[in-house]
Amino acid sequence: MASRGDLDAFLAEVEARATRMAALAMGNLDDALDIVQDAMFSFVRHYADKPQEQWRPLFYRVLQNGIRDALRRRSVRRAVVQVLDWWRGGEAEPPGEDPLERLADPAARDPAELAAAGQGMDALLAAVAKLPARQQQTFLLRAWEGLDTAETALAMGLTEGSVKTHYSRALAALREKLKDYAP
Amino acid sequence: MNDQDLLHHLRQGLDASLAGLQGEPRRRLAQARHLALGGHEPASRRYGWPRAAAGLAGLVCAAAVILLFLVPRPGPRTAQLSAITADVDILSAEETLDFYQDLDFVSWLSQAAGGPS
Repeated sequence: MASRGDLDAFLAEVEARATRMAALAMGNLDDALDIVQDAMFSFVRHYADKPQEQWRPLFYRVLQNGIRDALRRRSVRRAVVQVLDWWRGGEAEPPGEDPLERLADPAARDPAELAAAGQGMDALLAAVAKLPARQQQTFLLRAWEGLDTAETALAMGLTEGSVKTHYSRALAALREKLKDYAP
Repeated sequence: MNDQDLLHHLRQGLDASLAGLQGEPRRRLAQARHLALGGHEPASRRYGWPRAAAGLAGLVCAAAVILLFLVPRPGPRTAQLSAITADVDILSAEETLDFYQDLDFVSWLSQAAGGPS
């Protein structure tokens, strides 16, 4: 049975990376901190009694659910605004995208420009920030957090095939965005 | 640069970005960890919407869209409205999606513990 100390150590170890992942998905740190706070509470409440080797994919499952919920809430608000705009007779843009597949963050800076300006680290982060949400989070869980394909599939609520697809697409996109990057 | 080098640099950049989470963000994380371990539910959320309320908001939005669709408006906007309605249906079906996803997750937990598949 894990102790409070074990739980504290685990959460302390993942909290920073989880916050960075959530911030890249949401586009701002405040939202990310709220999501991670909720994820910690839900994880301790529901999964603290599970074997420690399961904690990492379990925690990221909870985190990804929180990110997805937050993006959905943002999409609901966007849909309401669009409906009201349509009602007023404005030129509402129909949401042609899956609301859960957030468009790449348009506010993210251009990684190629940053790389050319010698701002290497900013270019790397900007490239990741520009990825669509599912590709971005799949890539971060596989390449940065070190989850394997099965663990990533469970954290993301995807099939293993989808994980491989999203990961390879993310890597291809990053390769293209960072082709001028020189460390 | 090959993929291994690219991944190495990306990981380095992401690790370095954690240095930006000093001060107030770190304090909030430590406080959140302390509250979670003490069983204290977060007092407030940025959006102020519990999950059930978010689903209810989606249903209310769907109802509003249907009512608006029933009221005649000038100009053919059927395609736009259908797209918006479809998205709201997806959003209002949140609980159903999570239910099926959690079934897979519970099944995985059972397998990992050596239970029946």
